[in-house]
Amino acid sequence: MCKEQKNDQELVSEFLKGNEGTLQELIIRHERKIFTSIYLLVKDRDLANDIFQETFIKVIKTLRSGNYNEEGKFLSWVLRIGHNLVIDHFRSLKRMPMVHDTEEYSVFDTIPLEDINIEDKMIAEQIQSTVRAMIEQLPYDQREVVIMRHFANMSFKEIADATGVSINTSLGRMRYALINLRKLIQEKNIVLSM
Amino acid sequence: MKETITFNHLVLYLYNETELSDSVFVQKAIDHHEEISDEFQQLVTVKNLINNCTMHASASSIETVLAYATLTAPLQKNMYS
Repeated sequence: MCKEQKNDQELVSEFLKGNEGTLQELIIRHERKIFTSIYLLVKDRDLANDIFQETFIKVIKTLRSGNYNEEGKFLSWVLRIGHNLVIDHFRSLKRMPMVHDTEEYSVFDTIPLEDINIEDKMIAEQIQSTVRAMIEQLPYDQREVVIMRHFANMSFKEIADATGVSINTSLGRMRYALINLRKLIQEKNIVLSM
Repeated sequence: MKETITFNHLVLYLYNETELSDSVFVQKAIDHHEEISDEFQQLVTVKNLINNCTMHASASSIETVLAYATLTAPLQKNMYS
């Protein structure tokens, strides 16, 4: 019989009462979105794993300090922490990726195309990898809005507030991101059916 | 009522952020204009591809986090009565 799934807030409450197992459930529930969001910003798997760990350590510390008050928005809160840690990382390297909005981008020439005679799972993995590689090529602000909308489930108004721009600007960045990704897919004539 | 549909309308509709009246307006445009329908379908494809491109953190990263949580857990009340 299927146990009714607890929501994030319930899991957080149980964690704070000493049920450490609920943390694992929270991580399993959200780790893909959180890790992918970090990875798409830093473009390095090892670094993304480091920041992923730092993110959750900060999450644990904040929860235990009693300073968590993001009821119903656990995922977007964690993603904000991760995002800020990414920014801290770039600042420490003095290499903040300041890229301006533009429709133009250099065509991504190094997408590896696998032989078409591979198992469905490998095909799906390759497609996912290819799509991630395309997202990585987007200008930073377009990548950021894609991450916030898709993985943090933030509305365009929330994205605008979080990034300090107007809603039209955040919509425009998403518009360009979608147009650019579509262009990449078409130019590479990649079969992306899943 | 808006007379022309814009790309921003399609984006908002794609992400379910339109008001009801705008949703009706956009859906009508999609239903009655092949070009708009094609455009929208392409956006749906791109959106679905993004949603499906997530990847896992390493197992060791997750283990490290869980180990940290366990090692730093506040002392519980005495479990032995």
